[in-house]
Amino acid sequence: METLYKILEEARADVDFRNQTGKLIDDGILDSFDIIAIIGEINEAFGIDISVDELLPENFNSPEAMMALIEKLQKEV
Amino acid sequence: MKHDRMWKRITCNQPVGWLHNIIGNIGFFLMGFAIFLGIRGIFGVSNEYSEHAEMMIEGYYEEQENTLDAVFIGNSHIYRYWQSAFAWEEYGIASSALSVSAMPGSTMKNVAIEALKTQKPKVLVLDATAFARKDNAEKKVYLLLDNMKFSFNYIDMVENYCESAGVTGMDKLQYYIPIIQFHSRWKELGKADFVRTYPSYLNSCYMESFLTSTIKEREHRATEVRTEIGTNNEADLRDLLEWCTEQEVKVLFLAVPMLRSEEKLGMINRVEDIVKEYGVDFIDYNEVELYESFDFQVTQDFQDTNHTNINGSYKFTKVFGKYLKEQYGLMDHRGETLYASWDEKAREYDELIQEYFIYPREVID
Amino acid sequence: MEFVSAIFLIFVAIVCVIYFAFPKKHRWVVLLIASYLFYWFNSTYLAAVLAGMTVVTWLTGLMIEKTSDKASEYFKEHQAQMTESERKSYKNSVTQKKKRILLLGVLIDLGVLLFFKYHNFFLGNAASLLGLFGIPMKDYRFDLLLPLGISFYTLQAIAYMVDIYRKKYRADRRFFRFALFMSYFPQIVQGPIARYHKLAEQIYQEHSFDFTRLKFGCQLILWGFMKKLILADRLGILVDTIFDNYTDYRGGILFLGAIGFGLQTYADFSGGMEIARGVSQIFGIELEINFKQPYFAKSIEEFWRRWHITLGTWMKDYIFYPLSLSKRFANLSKKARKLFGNYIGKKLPSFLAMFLVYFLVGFWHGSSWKYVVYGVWNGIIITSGILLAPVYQKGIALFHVKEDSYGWKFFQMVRTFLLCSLGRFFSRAGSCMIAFSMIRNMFLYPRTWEFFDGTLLTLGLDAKDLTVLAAMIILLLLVDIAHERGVKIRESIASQGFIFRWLIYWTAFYLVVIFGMYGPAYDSSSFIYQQF
Repeated sequence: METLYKILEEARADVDFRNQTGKLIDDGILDSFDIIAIIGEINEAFGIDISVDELLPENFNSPEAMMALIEKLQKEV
Repeated sequence: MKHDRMWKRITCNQPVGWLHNIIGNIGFFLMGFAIFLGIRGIFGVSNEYSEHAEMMIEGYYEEQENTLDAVFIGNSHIYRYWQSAFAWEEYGIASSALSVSAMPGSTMKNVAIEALKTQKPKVLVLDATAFARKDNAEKKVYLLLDNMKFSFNYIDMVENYCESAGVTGMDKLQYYIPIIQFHSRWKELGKADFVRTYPSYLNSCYMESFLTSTIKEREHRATEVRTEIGTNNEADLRDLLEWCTEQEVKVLFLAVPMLRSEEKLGMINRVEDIVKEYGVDFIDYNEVELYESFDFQVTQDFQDTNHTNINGSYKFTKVFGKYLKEQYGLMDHRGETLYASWDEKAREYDELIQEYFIYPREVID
Repeated sequence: MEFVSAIFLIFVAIVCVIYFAFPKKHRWVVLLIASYLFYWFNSTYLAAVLAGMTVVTWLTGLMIEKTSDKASEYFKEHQAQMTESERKSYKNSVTQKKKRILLLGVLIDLGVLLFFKYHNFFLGNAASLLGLFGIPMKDYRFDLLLPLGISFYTLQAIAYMVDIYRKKYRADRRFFRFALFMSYFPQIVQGPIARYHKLAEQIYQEHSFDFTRLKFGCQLILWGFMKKLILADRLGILVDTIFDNYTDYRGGILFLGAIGFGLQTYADFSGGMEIARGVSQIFGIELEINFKQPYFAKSIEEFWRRWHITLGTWMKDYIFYPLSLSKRFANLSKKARKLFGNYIGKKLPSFLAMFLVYFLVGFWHGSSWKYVVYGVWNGIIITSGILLAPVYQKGIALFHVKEDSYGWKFFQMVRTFLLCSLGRFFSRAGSCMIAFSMIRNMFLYPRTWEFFDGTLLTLGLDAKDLTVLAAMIILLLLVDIAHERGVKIRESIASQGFIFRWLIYWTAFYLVVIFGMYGPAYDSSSFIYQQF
């Protein structure tokens, strides 16, 4: 989880991810360019492949949702 | 109330029973077909170029059933030589022509079948020159297709034409549905395409060129030469002849007098040979004696080298009418009540042409 | 067999009758046979190319899935005993293996496409490149028949293999059914580019005959014919005149040519889609919508989301995202942010991916540099639009533009339309150089008066044709407006009284019959009396 926060904060230093209550995607806090940059980092850090089909707002609306996605993908081959 | 409900049913797309559905669909296609027929009547060869094709064919259909004694079928060598109005006035012959410009030989059999649907003539005169030609004025077949009634015979005619002209596959479609050719005429449509413009002068020609044109002096070149007419022409001709031999009606092949080259007249001789193989009558007015029987003044009587003008056609009709009357026993129908309108129409034709016509003749009252 | 032809309609009618005469269970077989027959009519032996690619794609899908299933099983059993790094390396090795199979499949399919469609392009460019260095090269270029629809079904095949790789759905075990997905005849000529999970189920499903569907399908086909025969082919005459004699024209007329070509393509392409969708609808199969009123787009980006939609989403799913999500791009992004700062740096990788997409879109359209320029032109406009967004925002604030006003939206649409039309010079002109010279001549010599002095009547269409054209464009515009507002035109016609309904159908039919550009051009002069 800490790794994820680090990635997020590196991408957008101006957003406080730890105490964020709004929805990151639906509320427009992150734009598509942010997401693309973040996914690239996540893929590398966690050794997974987030593909286009997982590019859904609900998977990226909060750090917790992202973590859930990461853990799901880690269990799969 | 009841009426209201009925109307709603008719006008709104409410679920209805299968019977209604079927009736509805039939109605739908009938409507489309009606529009098709309307459009077919409008789009066709422009009247400007059709050389009375509409009059020749529609006029023929309108003749009272079984009143004609002589029926002519062929190309411009029929309607620029034989004038039914003259024949009526001279001999009381009730005749009519189903002739259009450049009628292809391959269609003549079907045109003849069409002709016999409504008439029982004593003699059927077929144009021999239709087979003595090499050029193929392909589009002119539409003069027939536009005006003939739709039937199995029509389909057979299209098939015969296409076979002879080498049209195959989907290209045939434009002959079955001429609108494929003619729809682009929407731009040039005029009053003449919507309203019937021709008066029926007993299928007699009154085109301007026919009334006014003349040519320079020229010799008639009778010949004994035989020129090949080509395999297609021959096949079409033999097909027609086979049909002729099966018919009750007497058939006469006619070659009109023309001032053409030896080669062209040689083709007519070749046609004559083939026709005689089948024992069918043939008369060639290009033989010296027969040609001289007309006493043509070339500079007055011909419109061009292979068509008489109004004056020449009178001479031709006079001679040929006499021949028909004697050979085939045609009756003089003048004065019969069934033919009362013929006098009227012939007189109208006379009025139309009188200022161009130079020969004095007795006009029957 | 042309799509817009009587023989195609007859073919469809026959297939329909046989389709519904067959037992429901086997109806898909009729479609498969019809599809290969259709292909045979058009490309004869090249049907073998389609069949070959089908086999390759089908096998690739199965092999990827087998590898992946095996690995999953193994992973499930042994996961617990593995260390973190063992897990990582096992996963990595499986991915590598899957990737190799996928790559092989994609390369074969793509190779066939490149060979048939682009061989002359590469040979020609190789020759000129070598020529630059003074090395002469013989002209090895040769002509090949292009297998019908290969640009479309290659993309379908690639999408299928990648989706199996991504485990989006299971691979199809039944070869002949899969063959139908690849060859389905209404869409093979010009799309829409189908996705397996959306189309396959539908074509195998058992469809019963439905009269309403038949009616609606026929109406859609009719509308497609109207667009193609009355509008596109008529406009084509004018466009051809201008582009074929481009040196004769300047200014406004050239611009008219570009706009005309855009409209022609729209009417032609979307008309074709409607015919494809209409035919499918009769069978009970819904194809994807490929055009959503593209000329109402307010930006070029939106335009590409409305124009040839299935190509756009294909590019997005199989080029844009995989690229911009890849590790290499992530690293690039990191570096770029350091170099250019967050605003540009963050966007740079996406832009790169986007440029590649538009480059490919252009190149996919045809094997010539002009198409590449056409694609890149679109890429430039889009990226500059995004980059300059802050500037626009300032401008909007400065001039107090109401962003939701009709005026502003209209301005945006017109702007997009004009920018789009400019790009059309490249896709239609004979070559890049011609396109550039046309654009130059357009701006240098406006010659606005040529719209009024009768020049319009010299472009191959007379006043009557232009009137029909204008009327048809207005009709298309009205239909598009209705669609944009969510009106379902066929449903609303169907709810009318029968006389009105029938009149509409028959009017549409006879409009095509009379005003359509088809059949041998009739020439009255050929009837002028011949000497016989």
